[in-house]
Amino acid sequence: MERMLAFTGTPFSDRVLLILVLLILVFLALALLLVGLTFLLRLRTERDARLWARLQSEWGPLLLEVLDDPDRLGVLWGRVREEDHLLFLEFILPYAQRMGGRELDTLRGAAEPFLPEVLHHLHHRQVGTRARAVQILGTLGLPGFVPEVKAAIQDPSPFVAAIAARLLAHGLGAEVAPDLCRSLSRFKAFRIWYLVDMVTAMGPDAIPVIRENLLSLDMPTRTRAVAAHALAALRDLGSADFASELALEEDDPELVAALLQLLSQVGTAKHAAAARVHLDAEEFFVKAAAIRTLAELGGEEDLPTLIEKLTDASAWVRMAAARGVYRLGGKGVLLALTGSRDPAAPLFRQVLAEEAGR
Amino acid sequence: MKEGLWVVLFFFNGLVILYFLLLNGFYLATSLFAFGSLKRYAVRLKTLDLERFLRTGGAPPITLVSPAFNEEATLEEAVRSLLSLNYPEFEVLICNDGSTDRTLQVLAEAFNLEPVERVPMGDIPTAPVRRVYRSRRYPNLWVLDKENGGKADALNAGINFCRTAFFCAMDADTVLERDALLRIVRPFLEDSGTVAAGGIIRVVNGCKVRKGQVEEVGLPRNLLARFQVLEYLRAFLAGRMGWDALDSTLIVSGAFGIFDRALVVSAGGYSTDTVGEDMELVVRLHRYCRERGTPYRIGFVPDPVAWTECPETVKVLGRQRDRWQRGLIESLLRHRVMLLNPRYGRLGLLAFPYFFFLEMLGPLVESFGYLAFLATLLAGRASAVYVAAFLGVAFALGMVLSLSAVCLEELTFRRYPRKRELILLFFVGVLENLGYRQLNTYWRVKGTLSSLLGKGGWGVMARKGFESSGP
Repeated sequence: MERMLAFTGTPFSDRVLLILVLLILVFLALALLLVGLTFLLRLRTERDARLWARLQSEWGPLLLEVLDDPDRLGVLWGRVREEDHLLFLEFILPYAQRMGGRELDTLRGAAEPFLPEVLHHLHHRQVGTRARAVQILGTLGLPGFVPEVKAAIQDPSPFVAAIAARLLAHGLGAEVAPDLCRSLSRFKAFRIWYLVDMVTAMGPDAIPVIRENLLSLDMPTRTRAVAAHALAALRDLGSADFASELALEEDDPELVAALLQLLSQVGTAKHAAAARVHLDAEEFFVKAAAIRTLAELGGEEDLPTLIEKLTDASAWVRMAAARGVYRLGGKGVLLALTGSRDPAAPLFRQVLAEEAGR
Repeated sequence: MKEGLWVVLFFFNGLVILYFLLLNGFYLATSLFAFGSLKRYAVRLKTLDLERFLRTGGAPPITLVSPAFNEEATLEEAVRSLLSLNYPEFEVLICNDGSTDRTLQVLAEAFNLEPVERVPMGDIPTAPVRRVYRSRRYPNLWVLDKENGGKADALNAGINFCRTAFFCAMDADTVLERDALLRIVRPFLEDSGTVAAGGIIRVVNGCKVRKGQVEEVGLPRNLLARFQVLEYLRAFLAGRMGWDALDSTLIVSGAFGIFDRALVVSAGGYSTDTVGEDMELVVRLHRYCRERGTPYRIGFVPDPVAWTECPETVKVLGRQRDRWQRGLIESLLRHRVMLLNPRYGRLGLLAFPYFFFLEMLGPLVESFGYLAFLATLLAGRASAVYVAAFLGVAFALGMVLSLSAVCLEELTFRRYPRKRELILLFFVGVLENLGYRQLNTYWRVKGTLSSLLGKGGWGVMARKGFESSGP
């Protein structure tokens, strides 16, 4: 024991010492390797920066000329060496992302001969590389590469698929509506606003397809909720009647809230009944949506119901109710309550001030 | 009797070696995971088109909640920086936590505040809110003036008054980069299960700050601050990124993190009886979601940057580290049910034990280890060569870990543009093993003892103001 404790003069201690010394050497070598690697990375960064500066000075002024006069495209292409084709696409991509109309068409024309070289990246094993390829094709390659970008909606990575869908929605609008709406269920991990924005980007021409999605019972409820929100954003007046019927029939809270929001945007007094049904919903957000809708579509006869909701357990419902009371002509009621000992008096004062400032 | 003591010492030395192996094994593993993860992330980052994102919408409104206590020196600048953020829809909510200096007056004068009515939407108990103000000049700037209740209490007050689905908790002395919100919100859009995410914190000392934005990145002159630059790089790029790759993020820095407001309110908000309220909340959110079977994700995003001023004196830094250690201990002990509990998955079986045994108890083991080694050595029971070799391994490995953080930085974000700074960081990486790490261990032991003895307190951090941060 004595000898073991001392770690000296035993074969064990010699082996340990040897291992420790080896470890020191390995770690020192690793440290040197890391220093070397870091400097190599720095050199690479500086080389890339120099390359981009050179390309910028070579292509930048010519690109501006081309945007002004597309006939100069040949001169620009003449300056793009074979090994720089992909770099050229990377170079014009940020311009294309910020331009529209004729300029974007010119940039797409400038990119056209080089785009086929990106195609094999669509099957790269790295998600980031595939995503970049989709981004280049979806920005610079439309409409020529629509099939490839559409196919990317089925990419195993939802991240790549979402980039493809978003670019198609923004680039081609209603033309891709059926494909895009069918694929919405692929994005179940994504936040609903992201999807609503994507669907809305297709514009009013996509409304018939979006309506179909909302009406289809085969669609997942979340997809239908996205459709309802998108129709609200597109102010689709024609959807009010069926949205009202659906709001009476459906029981999924997310879908019902979306339908109520749609009704608050496009509904009329005759659709107020759908909102009244949900005034006592279990979920506070459905209740608040119903109150907001009723505040838009309802009449004085709804005032007592909304006044009742001023004491709801949820602060969100109370807030919606106070706004509703104001909008349905109950300003006097709120004024009277602000002077009372009601604990909600500050809320009423806030709503009065905010509504007056609208 | 004497022999018995040596046996104990022998086994303790063995324990120290085991601790050393485990701790550094974890560090190496997280660094490797971080390396792979950051490499992939850097490629994906290229596809982020912030301009389009800003234009087309889909980004959720966010409330920035910033507690302020005696921040008259830096707050105006910090608020201006927040107001200039690149984000479609956000509110700034400053919670003046009963400051005894001119914090409120400075805000009132700079932003033309007027008292308004605004009621809380949440019901987390807090110290009374005296008045709510809104800026006449910037309609999205709100100030809550409340009685002093501590940082967590101020954050809770802000959460109560928050009307957006997400809030960003941050320190009043933090400078967010203009597109930080756009970047940090991405995981919330791509994964609706995301309930919290933290960004990277970098040291502002040594940087040139103009109009609330970091104009030129540089290293501080102060050696302590330089050590911290490296420490932050290691902690975030290697540590948090690595844990994120393992889906086991246990800390979202209080200086910059986004949270799902409804979930935080349901979980009871920040805990006011701990100095580590940021870590405690994250651990509690994990528990809350796991125990209810709610699918969720808490992550780390490496590119949105928050710049923060770090202490430049031993005294203030010591207090900060003492507080961090106490916060860690309080959070871990409060949620000790998670320790090695398979119900909490990877978190209970990997991340929690790591923090519990290696981060919480580690400093004690390490410091007693130094003493035990010394005793063994002085008693002639161990070869000096052997001990020196062991310390040499510890030194070399520490160096590798620090240098790997510099390498990760160069691989991804390259914030330090001059080669001279890279060289300095390497030197710091070598130097920090000769005293600074041991000093840190001492502070953490102090923190552990204070925690066990029930001593509390935050300590004071004297702010210089950002404009003077330049080299």
